Amino acid sequence: MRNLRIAFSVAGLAVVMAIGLVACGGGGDDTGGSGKSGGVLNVSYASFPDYMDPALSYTAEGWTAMGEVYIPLLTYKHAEGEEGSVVEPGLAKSMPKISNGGKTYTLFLRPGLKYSDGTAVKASDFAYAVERVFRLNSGGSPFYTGIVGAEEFAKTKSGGIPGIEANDETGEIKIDLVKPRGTFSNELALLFVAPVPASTPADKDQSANPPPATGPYMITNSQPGRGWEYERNPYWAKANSKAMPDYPSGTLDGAKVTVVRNQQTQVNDVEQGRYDWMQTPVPADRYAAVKEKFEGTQLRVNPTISTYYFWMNTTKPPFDDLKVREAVNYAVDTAALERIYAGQIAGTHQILPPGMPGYEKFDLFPHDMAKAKALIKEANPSDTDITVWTDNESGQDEAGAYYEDVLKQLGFNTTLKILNTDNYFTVIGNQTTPDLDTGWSDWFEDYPHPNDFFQPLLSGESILATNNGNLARIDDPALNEEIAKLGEEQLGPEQEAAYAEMDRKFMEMAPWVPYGTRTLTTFVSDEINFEKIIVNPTFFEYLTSFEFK
Amino acid sequence: MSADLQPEASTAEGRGPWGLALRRFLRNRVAVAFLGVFVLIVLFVLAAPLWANHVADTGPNKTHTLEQITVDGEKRYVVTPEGKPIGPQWFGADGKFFLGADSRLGRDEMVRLMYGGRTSLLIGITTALITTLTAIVLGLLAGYYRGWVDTVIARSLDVLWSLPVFLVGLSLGISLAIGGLKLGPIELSGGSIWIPILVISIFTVPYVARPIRGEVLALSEKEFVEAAVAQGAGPLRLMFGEILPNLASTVIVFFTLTIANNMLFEAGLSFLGAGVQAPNSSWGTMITVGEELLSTQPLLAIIPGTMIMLTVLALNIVGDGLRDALDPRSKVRLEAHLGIAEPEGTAV
Repeated sequence: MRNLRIAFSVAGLAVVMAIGLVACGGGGDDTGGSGKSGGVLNVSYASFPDYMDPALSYTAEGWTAMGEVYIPLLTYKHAEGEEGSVVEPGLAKSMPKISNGGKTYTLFLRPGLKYSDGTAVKASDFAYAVERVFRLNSGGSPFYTGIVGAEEFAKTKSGGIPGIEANDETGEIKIDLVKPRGTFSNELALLFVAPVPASTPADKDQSANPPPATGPYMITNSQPGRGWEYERNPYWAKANSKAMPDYPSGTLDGAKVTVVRNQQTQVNDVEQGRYDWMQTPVPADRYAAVKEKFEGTQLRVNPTISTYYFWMNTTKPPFDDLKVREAVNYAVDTAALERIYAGQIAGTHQILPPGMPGYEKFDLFPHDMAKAKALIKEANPSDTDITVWTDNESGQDEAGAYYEDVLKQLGFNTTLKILNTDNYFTVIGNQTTPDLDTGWSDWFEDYPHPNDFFQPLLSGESILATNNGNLARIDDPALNEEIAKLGEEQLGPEQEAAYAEMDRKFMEMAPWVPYGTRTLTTFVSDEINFEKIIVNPTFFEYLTSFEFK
Repeated sequence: MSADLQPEASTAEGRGPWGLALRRFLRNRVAVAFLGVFVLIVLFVLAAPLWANHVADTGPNKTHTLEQITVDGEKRYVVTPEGKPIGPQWFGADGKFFLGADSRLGRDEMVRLMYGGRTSLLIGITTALITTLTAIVLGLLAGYYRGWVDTVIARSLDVLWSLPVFLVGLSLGISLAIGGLKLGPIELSGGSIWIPILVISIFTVPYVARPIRGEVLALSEKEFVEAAVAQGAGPLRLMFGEILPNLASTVIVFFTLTIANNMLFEAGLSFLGAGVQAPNSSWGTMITVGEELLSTQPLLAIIPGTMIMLTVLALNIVGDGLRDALDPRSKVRLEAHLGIAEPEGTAV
């Protein structure tokens, strides 16, 4: 997923600060441990998530915000590092039974589940959630087009998806896929398809009025742009925690989230105890001082499985010319970007980040401005007027300005557009937005599978009219086919080698200028039981893992 | 005061109203001093290319993230590996990075300050010009024709006046900055400096047009207008030949004050991302960039902030001085209102 406001402390697989799994205990309202139960957590986010609707949100912020509110059929273990990437049953009783050569997934809903408004969770709500993903043209829809009939439904948006059979009486959910898909269990654990009541409007973003919850907390008083609140789901203790005894309940009574756009203020507020947690990373110019003072007590630095990159629109001049794209790759200096991020990124020049299966280090385009200029001269692009897009988050704005300066040095006439972080991906993901030539983006793993860096970002089917994931709009039939083929297989050494090769092939086509992988921070006040916090590779900080000292 | 009156009285016969006004203005030492400050600021920003090319040897948007400079014989990073930009070097590096680097991009703060000042002043002056010219035309039409023309113009100005100017300007600035503007043959890209100019000009027109309309209403009742009508003058001649010259003092004062107000407006819009678009600098955008480093490099925000303050202060004081010089009665009225008026007949 994308990281809207780099916010969180992503967990990276490597992190593993052997903490906190204790909190994953039983289903009561108290997870045990030394902290006290209750209290309302005061949280600051630097921006409102892209959407506060599970079918739509495709940013780390949104997933952190809703990770303990909407539980999919499958979910990720409340743990860190590799353990946190383990998929386990969520609303489903057990892991799916996979049959028919990997094309049929059968699951059963746990009995007795209820939404926070008291209505019963039904098996057909899952089918409704998947349909909603397509009706809303969600950025997550490519994950589910492999379901029989889903592609047709995506076009017609009517008649249901025949590949999903749900029996509300027995709770059975049977999903038929067109072909096997090795990552499908991971994809069933994404928020996009977390069941929501069938009364949830199917064609309208619900950010201002989020659907009823199935998790321990429900979202109340959501005010896009300003903040939201969490209260305990009244049916968690009564019903869902009994049905899902292994799912953590958390100790907090609730939380109040305020959008505080100034990251300096966020740091000051946490230092002074006005807020308990800043979900946003510590800004670059405060990083060294905060790290020195609080690391290990209130601050932790988490590596992530992420790639930061500049995309180039390969469908129109000048970036439809491979030579131009190669030139830009040679011209961008990852060392400069490491400095711009104050050491919070590690330079890399490929699509797969370190830590992801299939990662094999290489660099096809070591920094060489002279070579870059020679390539541009050779290409002699017909259109040199380009627009560079980035958002206004600390780091990204400067990375965008740096990139623009590099393009200027290559002879382009550039216009830099710095958008508000809140709507950046909505704007650049909408193909009707004019002048989408090149710009900044990032990607954090949805799950620990290399396909997650290719299928949503670089396959032809991910080029969408809205919520577009393939910003470079690269659509290479051979590589599309390879992505699809590898996606059908379970990950093993052979597949990892194939993904490493795919990484190289894509970089030979140079649709992106990858420049780094990110470390992020978790910074809390001294009121918080710091060691209990679980930073998951997918959902980052779990709300249920916060407790007051 | 009575002593001051004597020399002026002795020479008044030989001076026109403008000469008298100049004389009165020059006697206002504070206004003259701040006019000097303003002139210095203008010269400072006009010298931007000279400083950039011959001293700093860089452009306003050129990044120097990985570069090193020699300061007093010692090599130093423009941006440290921890991402801290170099502070003011004054003349330690032969004028390079005189005020330090602006951010982790390592751009020369002094060069950006000078170029940013050009942008801020350009926007201030251009918008004041557009605002004032539009306001003159609207004020003249409304005040002269009255009736439905006045109703339409005055109510339209009321509508504009009633809007939360800054919020609407902010929204408009942001949306135009993303999509640009296409209006018939006029096409502006999102990063064009004309977008903040347009936004600011539109929203400040009522603040000038309404007082001008009021003055036109009053002037059109005067004998000299009636005399011109009796001589067969048409509406155009009456508006532009008779009434407009008598508005000159008001217009000049408003023009000066509008520059100051519009510079503040621009700084606010740019600070919030709806004015001048990066990487171009204005003093407003420089405060935004500096704000991020406020805790470690406060000068980066303080310096452009001080420049805005000095310019606005200078323009306001010069504007007040001009008002006092061009319309001495207003000063008498003000002093009378405040209870500090001189005995009648002695005021200058």
